[in-house]
Amino acid sequence: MNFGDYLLFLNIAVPVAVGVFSLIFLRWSKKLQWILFFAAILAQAVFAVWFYNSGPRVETISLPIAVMNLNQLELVMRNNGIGYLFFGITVIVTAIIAVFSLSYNDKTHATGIAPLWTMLMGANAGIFFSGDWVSFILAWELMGWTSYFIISHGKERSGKAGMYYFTQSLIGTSALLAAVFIGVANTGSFAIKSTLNFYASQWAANPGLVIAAALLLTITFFTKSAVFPFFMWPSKAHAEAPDDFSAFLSGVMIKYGVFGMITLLLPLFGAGYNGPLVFGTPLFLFILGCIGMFTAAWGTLHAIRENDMKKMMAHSTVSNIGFILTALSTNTAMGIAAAVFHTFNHMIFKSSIFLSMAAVKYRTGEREMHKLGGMAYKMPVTFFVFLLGIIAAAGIPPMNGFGSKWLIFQAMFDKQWLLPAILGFFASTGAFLYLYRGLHSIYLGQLSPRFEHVKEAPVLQIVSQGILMLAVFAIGLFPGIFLIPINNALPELGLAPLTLDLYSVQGSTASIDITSIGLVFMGSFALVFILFLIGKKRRYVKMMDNYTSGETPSDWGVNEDKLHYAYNFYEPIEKVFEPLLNGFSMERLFGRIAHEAKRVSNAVRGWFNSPQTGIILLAVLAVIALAVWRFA
Amino acid sequence: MMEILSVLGYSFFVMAAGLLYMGIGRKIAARLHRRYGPPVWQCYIDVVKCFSRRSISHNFIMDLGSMMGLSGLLAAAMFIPMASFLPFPSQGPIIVILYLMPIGYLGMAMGVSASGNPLAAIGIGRALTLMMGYEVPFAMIVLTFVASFSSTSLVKLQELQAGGIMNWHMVTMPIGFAAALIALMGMLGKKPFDTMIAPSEIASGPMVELSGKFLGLAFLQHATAIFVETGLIVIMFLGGASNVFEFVAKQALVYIVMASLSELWARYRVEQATKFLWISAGSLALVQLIVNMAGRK
Repeated sequence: MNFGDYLLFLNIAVPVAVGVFSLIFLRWSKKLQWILFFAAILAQAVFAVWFYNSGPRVETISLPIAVMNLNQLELVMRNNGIGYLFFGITVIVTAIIAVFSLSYNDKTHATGIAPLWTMLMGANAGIFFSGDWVSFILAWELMGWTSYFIISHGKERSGKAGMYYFTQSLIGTSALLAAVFIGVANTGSFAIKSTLNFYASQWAANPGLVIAAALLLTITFFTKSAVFPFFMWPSKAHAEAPDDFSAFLSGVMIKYGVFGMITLLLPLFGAGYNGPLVFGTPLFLFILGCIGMFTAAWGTLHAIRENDMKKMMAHSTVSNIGFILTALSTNTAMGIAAAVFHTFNHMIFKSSIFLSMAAVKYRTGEREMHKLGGMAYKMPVTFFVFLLGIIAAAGIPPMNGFGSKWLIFQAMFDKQWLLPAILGFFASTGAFLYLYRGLHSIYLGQLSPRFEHVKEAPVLQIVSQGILMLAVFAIGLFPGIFLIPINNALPELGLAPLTLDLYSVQGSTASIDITSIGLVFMGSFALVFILFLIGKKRRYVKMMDNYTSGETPSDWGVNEDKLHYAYNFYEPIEKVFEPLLNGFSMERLFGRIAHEAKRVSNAVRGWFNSPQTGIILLAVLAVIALAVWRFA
Repeated sequence: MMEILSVLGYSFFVMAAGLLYMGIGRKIAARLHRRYGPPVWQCYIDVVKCFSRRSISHNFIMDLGSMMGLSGLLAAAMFIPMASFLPFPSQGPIIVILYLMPIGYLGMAMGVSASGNPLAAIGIGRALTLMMGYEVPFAMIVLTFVASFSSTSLVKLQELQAGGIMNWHMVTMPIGFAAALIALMGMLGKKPFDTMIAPSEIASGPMVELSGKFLGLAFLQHATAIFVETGLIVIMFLGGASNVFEFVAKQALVYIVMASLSELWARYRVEQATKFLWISAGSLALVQLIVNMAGRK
């Protein structure tokens, strides 16, 4: 056996093996587990870099297992452009997060999640490389349960959040299995390509079947990516998961659904489609696009009224996924490029935001925003990471979120999806609200005396955040860093590449030079800086030396905590939307379903719990034994 | 080198023009109040005075925020084609301008938040809430242009309106123009929509801790914002201009109308203002958008 022929398989096998191996050290050394974790991911990242531009590749392992009417089961891994890009960027971002984790998991903050996370990275490679359904589902399942255990990490509240997440994952996986089995039963092959081709060719003969399959796949990827009816799990799971893992969860894991939609759902709506069209798009995809924009607005509204910083950013992630979903539903080269570009950008800036918040929590132990404040004066680097992150998240130049958000809007303009775009602008403006709230409540405003002793985050945490911050800035200035590889991968999806280079990109209604926009901003900043220097000198005064209508705050018994305006920050606008958000709650609907399910299961359990259970069981067994004996 | 000089010159011109409109607005407000009012050039005196006084700051973030505030808006102004003059070649992309302006507001917000004054934070909270109010209708107006002309380029919109007043979008899409004016009122923070700087309630909100050159920078930022916002309306609806004087005159006209109208109303509460903007400007813009979408083919 030549290892060189199984490089893609090794990317799955090695992390899983290392993860299992590192379980041995659970009692001895958590530090060692984290080092093993870091080493495994570093290996993957090095592989990803080394593998750049190596061209398509297919690897096969045949297992002597007969399934259905196949003599042997073939596991296939294929390296294609888009899968490789997702793999490369996820592992590099995770490797950066891992540097943070090394420092974060000290004696007081350690969680035992390293082995599971290592295994999860194996699943990560499996999802992006799988060429057949068996490997894909195995990887998908491995990802599902490892992430469940990580989110739960042995705490009661986290356990509940993890259960919520896992239940939704189960719904998604069941839908995936159903879609796969229908396809496999019809084609007699486990290859993903042949199933998709089969579905795509059935529009004329059996459109109901294709729509059913598309619906099932949609449910799968909606649950994973937290799109509208399933948008609640991030706010629970991201918030309760270990802080460093939240960055991974929000940055990387939630994107599996996006990858699935691009590579498994969109091919169904290829050239063979002959159903109804809306604005030149298949009706099904147009509905997905509307759901995407609605998710964006809905996530924003939830984020605005959230006081817990991790929950707020989780809702923000949901909102961004909405944008991505809409972009890819346009099913055009521009839309898909925009979706992938925004996916990668979001991966980077949301990870940096979550890591910055994790560093704050590491030093203070607080998660609720109104209890914090003034962290910027104590942790300036962490503050800058957050600042650049939210500028990117708001889609403002010169950070990386701008290019992709602009391209998403261009994709919508191209298709004349103007009414959904209104919701997009609403969500995008609403984003300023909650992002500023985070900036103000956590980092600015008054510094509470309780946090007088707080120090800047440890070196490794700074390093990892700093790398992400530089990436946010670099890609913001040179969007081609991501857009050129994405553009090169487009032909493989059957799409014509866009017109772009390292600095600029051509949209549908305008073309912009993103680098020059960044330079213009920096130029104006230089000019203003000169103006600032020309002005007469300023003098620094204490934070409590504030304008308070001629009174001294301390005379009134007002301290820093009371001067920090952070709780119920957007009360006026919350009041406007309260009837909407309270009146229409998916949470309550799910609650009702859960309640009914519980009732049924209780009834069944009650029947089994009766004192006669033993006798009934014996009787049943006797009947079965009798039947077997009689007919055998 | 020429480009740097033209950018520099354009920046100063933008700020100077904005300050002039502010001065005219103050004079008109005073006359409507039956006061004599300050001279038109009062704003220049204010800015020079602000920069020549010593000021206080609380920390480096406050300094940085104030500078970011003005530079964001100046960067946005660089993309406004003033009578076919642009400091450097671009198409005048509206979406870019709409996304560059918030960096100014974010910088301002960051600076005043770092002062630790709760009144400033309240003011910023209100300003951002109001921003949601006017950005959505304004974005709908931009979408209207996309629906009709598939373009978000200011240069192209200006070309489309060439050849007489009957080609101006003000005439061809009057409902959208009305919506744009209402949204502009919100953008400028003129009176029914001035809760964020309400002097008597929250001591001028964001400006409460600003002194000396910080106040001067805030002044210049507001002046630049006026230039950008009225400039957008002039190019989008009033046919742009063929020379600088026409452009400035049209901008001044728009600002004068806004300044006089603002004296008619009392202040809205912020959620009322936001709702009003969505309901009035939003529905007008929606009607225009649907009309244009229907008229496309």
